[in-house]
Amino acid sequence: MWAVLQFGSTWVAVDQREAPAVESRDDLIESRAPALGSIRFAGADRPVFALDAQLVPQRAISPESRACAILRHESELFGLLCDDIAILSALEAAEFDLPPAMRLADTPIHSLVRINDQQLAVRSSARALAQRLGVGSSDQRSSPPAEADALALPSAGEAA
Amino acid sequence: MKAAAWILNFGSGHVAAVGARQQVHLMYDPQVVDVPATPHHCSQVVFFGAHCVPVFDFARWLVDHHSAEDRHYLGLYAFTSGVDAATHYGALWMASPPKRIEVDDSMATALPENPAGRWQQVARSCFEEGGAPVPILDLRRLFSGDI
Repeated sequence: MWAVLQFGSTWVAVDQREAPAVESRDDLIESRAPALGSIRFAGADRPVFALDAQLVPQRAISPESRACAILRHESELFGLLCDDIAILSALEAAEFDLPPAMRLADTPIHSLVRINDQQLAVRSSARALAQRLGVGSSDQRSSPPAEADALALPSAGEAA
Repeated sequence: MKAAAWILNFGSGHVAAVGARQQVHLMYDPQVVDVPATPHHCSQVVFFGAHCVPVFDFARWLVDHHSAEDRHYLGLYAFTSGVDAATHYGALWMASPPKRIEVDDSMATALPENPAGRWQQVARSCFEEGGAPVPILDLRRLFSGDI
């Protein structure tokens, strides 16, 4: 089974085992970059991110975002805002390789999934989306505290 | 030696040719599907039977910006891959229907030099038609992802 996440005109399918839960966008606690905020899930605050229809990370929350998919990448859980989420049986869809001419070096797309005559989803993974969003990167793990400047020591010359 | 070819008009004065037998199908304003996170010149697919076919905006690749002309014609072309010798398909947007002509060796000429180096990436030979050079596209190279 696939969880299919909608970002505007784009649908992204990930293995449903990588998307263990869906939370309401209303539960988001907004905060500073690089994440848009956090959401409480499984006893901890999880960073929440957003993508636009071109799968570019966003710094603002789209008014269309109604849901927050919780995605699992290795041992980390993170939230991804999306407009809607559907569950799709892999048997209902036809899957195609992404044509070589359409592959960018950092593409998060593994393949294309034709859902019906009108609709195409791109197949990705929690790992590829996490890489695109910078989940687990050093600046996301350890943002400096706001008080950091106040703690700066004077240089040797100033102290003398 | 004589051979039949199709001259493809990509708009803005850009033309190229393919072998007559490479053209499989011609569509007018077909339904194409946008694919995110892809190159600007190849960001759509069209479904043709059981095939999912990449759509290449050649004019955009050649000059790196949108063509001023509307292009409503989509040609579907077949080529073989060097890896598995299987038949693959690619589609190209055009400003007008392709024109069929006969080509012979006496028409051979040099590839256009402009845009710098672009034609050399996707064409191996060229002929002259109506006083203008018409490069012959290497479709396998064009749709390889290596350009």
